[in-house]
Amino acid sequence: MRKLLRDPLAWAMAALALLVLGMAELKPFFAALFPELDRPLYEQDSFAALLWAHLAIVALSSAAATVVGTGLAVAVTRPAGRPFRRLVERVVAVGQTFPPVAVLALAVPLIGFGAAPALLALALYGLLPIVQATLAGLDALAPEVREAALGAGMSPGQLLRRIELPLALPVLLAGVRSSVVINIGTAAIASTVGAKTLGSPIIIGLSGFNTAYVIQGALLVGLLAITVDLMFERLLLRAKAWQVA
Amino acid sequence: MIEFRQVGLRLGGRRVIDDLSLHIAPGEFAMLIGPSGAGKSSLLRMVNRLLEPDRGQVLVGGRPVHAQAPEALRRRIGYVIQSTGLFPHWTVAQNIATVPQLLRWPALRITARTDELMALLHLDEGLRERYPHQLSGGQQQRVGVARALAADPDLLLLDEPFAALDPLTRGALQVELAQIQRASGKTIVMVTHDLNEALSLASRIHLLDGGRLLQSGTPLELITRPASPEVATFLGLTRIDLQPRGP
Repeated sequence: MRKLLRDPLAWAMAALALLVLGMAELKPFFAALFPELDRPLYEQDSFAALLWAHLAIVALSSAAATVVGTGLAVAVTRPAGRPFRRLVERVVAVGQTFPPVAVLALAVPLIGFGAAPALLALALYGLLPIVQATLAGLDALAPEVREAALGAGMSPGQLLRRIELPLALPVLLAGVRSSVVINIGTAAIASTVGAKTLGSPIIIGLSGFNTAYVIQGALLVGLLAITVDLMFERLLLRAKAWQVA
Repeated sequence: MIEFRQVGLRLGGRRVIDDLSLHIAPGEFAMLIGPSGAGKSSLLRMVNRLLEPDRGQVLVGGRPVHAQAPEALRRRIGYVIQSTGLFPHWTVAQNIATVPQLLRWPALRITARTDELMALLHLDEGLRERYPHQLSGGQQQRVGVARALAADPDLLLLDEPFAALDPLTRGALQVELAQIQRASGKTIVMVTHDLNEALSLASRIHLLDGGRLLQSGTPLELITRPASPEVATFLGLTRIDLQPRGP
């Protein structure tokens, strides 16, 4: 119990749960803070539903970005894909310079409003840190380890699965971590194209001059980002347990 | 056991091995020696197809290596390198079991074999679940040798395995390797630039320089009958000036 009390992850999760379930209780507080507002509490959707939708969009887009990103990085470090490495690195880096709002705006005429353009934009946007991290992780393999693995009779596939990927995992996970955390923030913007997320109160609040809505949405997005970041920290520790053993 | 037939190798535009022929008989402890850049390691790496010659042929067990699948060939050949190349995320036991794992031995047989090898190489049982970075340099190389021996290969390739160790540890491991070789009758090919190591361990020494074979022979033959002034120089024989001592 004492250990739990000193655990920042436990605190972040508790704060997030309390705020999501108990935001309504804070209505008098927001009313006192913003006496000029008729509706000081966002009530179009429950915050739990918004959190769930937000998580779903982030999880789906980040999963796609992770699969495609690691796949790309692995492909361009194999003999057959090596000529494409510079190209992939450059395209992914340029992709990152587009503001996510622009990607969303471009996606809407193509696939319409709602969650679909948000998913696409987020998946593309989350790609760069993952590709970069996977490449860095794979590059860091000591040449003598590769030599020993091949010398022991590992096939290229076995080398990848047993040696290269496990050794790259801590760096790879660090890339996924920043990708996911960025996506949590960016997903809030996806509300502009009609996806329901924790960004909905923020967007509606901004267009309707309702600062209370903005605060409620922003608080939850921030807390969610912190919670997920702490979870990844935990995961990272496990991935490199052998280093500190 | 191993035969090089007029082998040539170019790496990065440089001729590393030049028309080299060499025979290593089964059960021999062959030592490849020569100055840096002589092509010793390259020669060794052509045996398990980590390098492919661009001229000539390499034969292992009477069959050309290019006709053997590289993975299967390498699993039959133990390979030890100077920097050990232990897998940092695997424990000592897992590292030793690398090739048996690849050969899909049953778990019990792998455990038994790991125990046997740890005892053979004087690795304390308590090191089983340690990771390589927790071991001393000498222990790491013991694990490296154990890993090479795991699937009981007839042929062992060692590329300067003891060069990075302190003299005491090196001496102990040399003795143990010699004992293992005598007891098992395995063929060993070892690269070294340490003349003492070559003279004390080898049954045959192959002296290389500039990608060519200067001389092959037993340690005694090399010292008593150096084939050329270069060989004599490398062996340090010309430095001994025998002054005529008159009455």
